[in-house]
Amino acid sequence: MAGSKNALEIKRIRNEILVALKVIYPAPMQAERLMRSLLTLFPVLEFDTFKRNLHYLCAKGYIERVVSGSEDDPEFTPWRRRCFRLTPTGMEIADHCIQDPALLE
Amino acid sequence: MPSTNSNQSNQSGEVADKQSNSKTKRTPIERLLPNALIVEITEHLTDLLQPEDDVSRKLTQTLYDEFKIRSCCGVTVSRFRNFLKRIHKKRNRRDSVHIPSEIISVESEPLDKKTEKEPDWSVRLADHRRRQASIATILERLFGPLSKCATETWAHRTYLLLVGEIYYRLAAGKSELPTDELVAFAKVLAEHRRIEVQMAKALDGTEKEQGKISMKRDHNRTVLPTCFPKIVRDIYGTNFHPPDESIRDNEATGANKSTKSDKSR
Repeated sequence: MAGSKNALEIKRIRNEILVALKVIYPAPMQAERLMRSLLTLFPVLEFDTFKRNLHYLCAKGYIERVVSGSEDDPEFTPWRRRCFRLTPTGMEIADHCIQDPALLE
Repeated sequence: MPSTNSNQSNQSGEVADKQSNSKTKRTPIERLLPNALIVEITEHLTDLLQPEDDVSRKLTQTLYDEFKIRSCCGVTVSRFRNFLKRIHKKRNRRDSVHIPSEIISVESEPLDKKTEKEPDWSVRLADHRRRQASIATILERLFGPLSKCATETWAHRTYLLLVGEIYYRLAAGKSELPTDELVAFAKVLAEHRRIEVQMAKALDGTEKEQGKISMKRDHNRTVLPTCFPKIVRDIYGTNFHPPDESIRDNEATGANKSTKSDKSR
């Protein structure tokens, strides 16, 4: 029971990340700003959990990192200041044009 | 007369309730249900039991399901059956109306934690969606249709920070900007945009009729708004150097107009 509740929470967080980026698509958003905007829905969301979900969505190909011209070395940019935006596939997921069973609630 | 009978039964039900209340305290569930509903349910059960000889388990389960739906609260089957047996014994309408509170004073079924929290999540999500839709309208008004924005500006640090900052402030600032106000503001902006588009179309049509060469409004042209340098100056205190020449053209046009007006004085 606790496992199913955690899985539902995880899916909701990931879906809300995609929806928030969809609002400003194709513009990107900083990770810290994105997380703070989700705190209204998930008050106890921690940055480590959020960062893991960003990693997951990047690996899945639903979001991508946008490197700004002002970043001297992208590898050393703190995660909170990194910018992310939806990919076309992520846009299709957010619009429910295609479905991912791992994100279905 | 059905209405008279129901009024009488309601009055007797209310009197009976007062008497029962004096003897037993009303439970929280009981306080939620109106007295008229309690009386109605009791009368209904009495009517259903009239032709029956005995209160069987099958009948109990059938009535339990129906009663549970009508009363919208949880009742244990055993208590419900005892109550039915009491009604069945008396088979007297006036006595049956007198009963009411015990059937509902029993322990209710524990609510599933998930269902208890689901309405709260749905409400929060719906409010969040309303807010996001309004923010999208406002951002589109500020930066133009995002699908037509200049792609070369997206990587620009100022643009990134601005869009993210605006979204964060609007999405997370519920205490400063209630959702209803945000929705109303977004609607006003959308209406304003619609009027501007209509006026632009009308202006183009008017100039064509007069035979003037009208500037073709290239809606596919991706330019930053003319007030963008001012926004950057207000927020960051620095000047904005556009990578695109379109803003320089606009500023030059504005400068030429001002010099012309100065010359005309």
